[in-house]
Order: sequence, then C-alpha cells, then structure tokens
Amino acid sequence: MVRSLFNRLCLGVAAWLCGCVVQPTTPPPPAVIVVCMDTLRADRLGPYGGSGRTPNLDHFATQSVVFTQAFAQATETLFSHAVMFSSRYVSELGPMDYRFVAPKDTPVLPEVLSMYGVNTAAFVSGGHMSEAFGLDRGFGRYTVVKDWGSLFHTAPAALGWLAEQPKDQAMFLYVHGYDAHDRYLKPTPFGFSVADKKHRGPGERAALGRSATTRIMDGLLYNRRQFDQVFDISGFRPRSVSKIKDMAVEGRALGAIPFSAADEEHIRGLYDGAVSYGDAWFGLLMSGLSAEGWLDRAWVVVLSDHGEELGENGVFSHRMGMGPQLLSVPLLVRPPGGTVGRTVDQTVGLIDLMPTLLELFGATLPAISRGRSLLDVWSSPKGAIEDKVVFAEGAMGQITAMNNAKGLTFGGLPWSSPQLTELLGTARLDGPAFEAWEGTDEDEAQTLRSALYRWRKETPLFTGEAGELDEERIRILQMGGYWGQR
Amino acid sequence: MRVFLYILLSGCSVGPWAEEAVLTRSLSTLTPRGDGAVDGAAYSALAYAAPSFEAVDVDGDGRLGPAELHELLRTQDPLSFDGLGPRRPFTPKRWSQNFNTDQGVRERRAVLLFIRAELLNQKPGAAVASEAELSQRALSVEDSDRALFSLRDIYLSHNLRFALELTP
Repeated sequence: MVRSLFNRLCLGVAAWLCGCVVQPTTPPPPAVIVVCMDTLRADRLGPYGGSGRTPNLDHFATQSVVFTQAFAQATETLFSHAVMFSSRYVSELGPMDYRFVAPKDTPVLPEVLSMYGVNTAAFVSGGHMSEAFGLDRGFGRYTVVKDWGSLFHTAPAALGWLAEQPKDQAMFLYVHGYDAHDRYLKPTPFGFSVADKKHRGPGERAALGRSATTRIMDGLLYNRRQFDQVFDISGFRPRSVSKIKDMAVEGRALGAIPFSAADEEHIRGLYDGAVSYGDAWFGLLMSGLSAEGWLDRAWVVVLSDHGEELGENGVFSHRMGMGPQLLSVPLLVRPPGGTVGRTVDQTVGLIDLMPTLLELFGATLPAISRGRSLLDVWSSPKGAIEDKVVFAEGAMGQITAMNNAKGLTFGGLPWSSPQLTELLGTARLDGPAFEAWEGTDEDEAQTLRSALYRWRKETPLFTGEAGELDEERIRILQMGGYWGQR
Repeated sequence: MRVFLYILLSGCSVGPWAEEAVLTRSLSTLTPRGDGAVDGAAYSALAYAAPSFEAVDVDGDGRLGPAELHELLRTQDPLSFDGLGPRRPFTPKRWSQNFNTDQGVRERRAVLLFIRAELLNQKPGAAVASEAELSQRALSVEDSDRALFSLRDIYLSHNLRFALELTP
C-alpha cells in the first residue's frame, strides 16, 4: 500500500516536472522603452570619454551595447525627432524652421507600430515635442507632461502608465526630458555640483532665464536684447559677428557684457550639473522599471536627439554649428535582462532608430526609409554591422557628412538651393564653403565630400506646403527662449 | 525565510537598480572626491534656494543620505525651484513695464548715439538727427525703434553696411 502510494507520488512528481520542462513556451511580444535625454552630449558619458558625471548611465552602459559613433541628423529637438520617427531627412519632410510640421504623408514609427497592434505611448516635455508640431502622430497615447520640463515630470508619469499595462502585449514607450537643455541651472544639490556657487560675474546671469545662454556669443552676453535685434532674421547667427562685437566692446551699445574664461567655465559647470541631475532621474526611472519587472521584459534604448556647444565656437547653443559637440550623441541599447556591456564602433545615425525598432517588432520597414536596422549587432556571427557614412542638416542650411569621428560640413549654399550640388562638386575643399572636423585629413575630407555630393544628388527635397507659424507655436517657442518676446 | 522571500519577490529592494543603489551612485557626483560624503558644509556649498541642511538631514546623521537625496529630487521642480515661479506670459504691458525703465532708456539712448557716431565717422556731414533728438526719442520703445530704422535707412542710402539685421 505504502509502496503503491509512493510510486504514484513519484509518477505524479515526474509528470509535473516533465510538464514543466517540455511545456512549449512562446516568447512574449517585444516591449521597447526609449529614453531621450535632450541636449545630452555624448562626451559626458563614461563610455564616450566622460569623467564620472553620469554614474547611472555609465552603469547602464555596462549592461548594454554602446554605439560609440552615433550621430544625429539635425541639431534641434523638433527636426531630430522628425528624422527619428520617420527615418527620412528633414529636407525631405519640410522647411527647417518653425513652420515645420511632422509630415502627414510619410509613415512614422508609432503609426506603423500601431498598425501592427503595438501599444504605443509617449510622455514628453513639450516644447518642440508639443502636439502643435505634429510629432504626436500615430501614438496611442501622447502626453505632454510639462512644456520644457524634464524627467522630473515625465519619468513618474511614464511609470504610472506602465504600472497599468499588461506585460504580455507588444509595447512601445517613449520618455523624453529636457534635463541637459538650458536653462542649465538645476535644483539643489546638482545645480552647483560642478560650478562654483560663489562665482561672481556675468556668467551668473546666464544661469537664469531660458534664453540667456543662447545669447552668449564670442565671449559676450547680449543680456537685454531680443533675438531680432542681435541675431539675423532667421533667429540664428548674426550677419556680422565682428561688427557686433566691436560695437558691443567699444560702445557697450548693445548692452553686451564681456565674458571671462571663468564665466565660460562656470556655464560649462552648470551644464555638467544638469547632466548629473538628468542622470539621477534616469536612475530613478530605471529603478522604477526594475521594481515593476520591466527590465527583464523590455528593451531599453537611451539616446539624445542632439548635443550642445559649450563655448567651442564662441557660443553656448545647439542652433548654429555642425560640429561633433552637437552631432555626436549617446546611443545605448539594453536588451531584456541586460547583456555584457560592449561597444560597437561602426558609424550609425539616429535615422536608424525606426528601422531597428520595426525589425524588432517584426514590422515591415516602409520602402521610403533612409536608415537601416542595427539588429545585426545581435544576429550576425561577429556581432558587427557595416560601417557607413551618415549625414546631418543644419538650421542655417549647412550639411555634414560623418564617418568614424571624421566630419565635413558644407555651408557654401543652403541645402535648399538648386545650385547646391554644382557648388558641392566644384568648390575648393580648402575654401570657405567647407569646414572639416578636427582630425579629418584631406583624403578623408575628399571621401566625405563625394558622399555628400551623391547623397544630396539622390535625395529629393521637400516640395509641399509648410505649416503655419500660429500663435500656439509662438507661445511655446517663447516659453523656451526660441522666439523673441516682443 | 520570510525576509528572504520578500527580497526575492519584491525586486525593488536589491540589485543595481534599487533606488538606494541609484541614489548612492548619484551622491558620488556631488563631491570633488567622488566619495558621496555630503556633510553640512558640503551641502551648503551646493545649496541654492533649497531647504537648510538641518531640514534635509532627516535622520540627523550629519550626512546627506540616499533617501534624503531622493526627497530633494522629488520635491524640487526644475522649472520653478529657484523661487522665480512659472514664467508669466509676456504681454505688451509687461514689455512696456520692463523697458520703460531708467535702465531701458539709458540702453536705448546708448545704442542710438553709438550708431549715430559710427555713421558720422564713416560719412561726415550725413543728415542725421541730433544727439538731443535721439536722446529724446530713446524715452519710448516705439520711438527709439523708429529712430533705429531711420538710422539704418541713412546707412543704406550711403551704401554703407549696417551690421544689425532688423525686423519690424
């Protein structure tokens, strides 16, 4: 009797165990969380040469694939996101000014994912990401938590939404914050964690106000001027820097205040404090994801839409230049459960985000897309992808080709000019129309120039109608210091 | 056993992404040595429009701990933490209030007189308003704007380069 019971028990346990082992399991559909840390320069992160200001991002890197040569295709939030969401260049989508509206006739990432039944949501910090600019198209839920806000605003909102989502469904979540954007001064204790609180000088003034740092130019702070009185009509670089500088220095005529090297260092310190502040909030977001079990379930992508010039070309801004400080961006991808951190040194672009995520979700990439999937990093035997030249377009009409930390910018004519390709092909490489990044030799510049020429020749320009610069857009732009306030 | 199960199941108490681990890492960015030891003196050097160290140091151990840092992060809105509050919409009335101040008048007068002097330097004898008239026009924003445009027109009429690109 006892033996019989024992045998039955053994059989039962064995059957249960077998059931456990052979039970066919279906992997859950993909879940992806993209965290965009606006205006974060790549070189502030450890894997990109940073010096300990971003311990949480650096820890994230140890669990991720780090793309060391990732470049943005535009230097402002609105345009860079339009590229990321459509995998097309801005010049194909609309005018690169604030009449731009995310295109309605081009498939965008959230829209395609929604067609495949993916649950999509975004928690963003408004500004250029507000609905007025059309980047919300295709998302099942799109919440502007706070205009020009940070992860302080969006991370808790995103975690709150995630807590209500089933984990067995395909899901795409986009979280965005302007933590490293001006104004750089962030709350205690991060605001002055690098910059000296006791610093006295005009650098202090740049700590306050949304548009103060963008009015620093060539060692001068144009403190009380409106954009249209200092900058050229497009709201960017003044037509004659030396003239304005002379006027300001000799006559203080424009109310410009000379900056010392210590002032500039102070501003850089404030930026670094903002970077650490954003890193802390990123860490808290990861903590929330971990606590809710999402880190074992979801891919997490961290990126920035563009960098920031911190005095390198006389400005503290991301509107004017096309250098590596602006175009080199962090791009880190952590698969579910994490991986052994490693780097991929081939050149990639943010334009590759949409193809990568669509392949991950098993969705078809629209034929019109310009990017390529980066999933070969996981699927190819060598874990590598092909190297490739990527391009960027600037708000002042410049175009840049980039490969392996080398870059060449052409600014001889705006990219919208019909004579562009002709001049691209004929202008002297050492003339004023071209500017090579530091470390780019003549042969490399020539290769990049050929790539620019081919790319521009093959990529059609936008010919449709621009959107309207309505009152709502101007209101949002004014809040962020992107528009004169008169 | 119960404690072990709690740790195993809760997920939020252990591991590299536990809140305490995250905040401990962040504390390391706050001191030059990177040791994260923020005492009262170190906090004072960092604090800006924030609670005093005594108010922040809830457990009274003389150091800013992870939970205390979390509280600072959670309670200070980066858009309004400095006491300036949310920015008010910029109305014509505010514009007028801000720029019809003594400083605004001085600044506008300086601009107009500087441009006048520049012009006469390049084109002696040019028909340009007197210093007194320009000083008078600097008293109002609208008048000084009009004066600025008329100065530009004089520049252009003499085929001189005018550095500022003005938009009406």
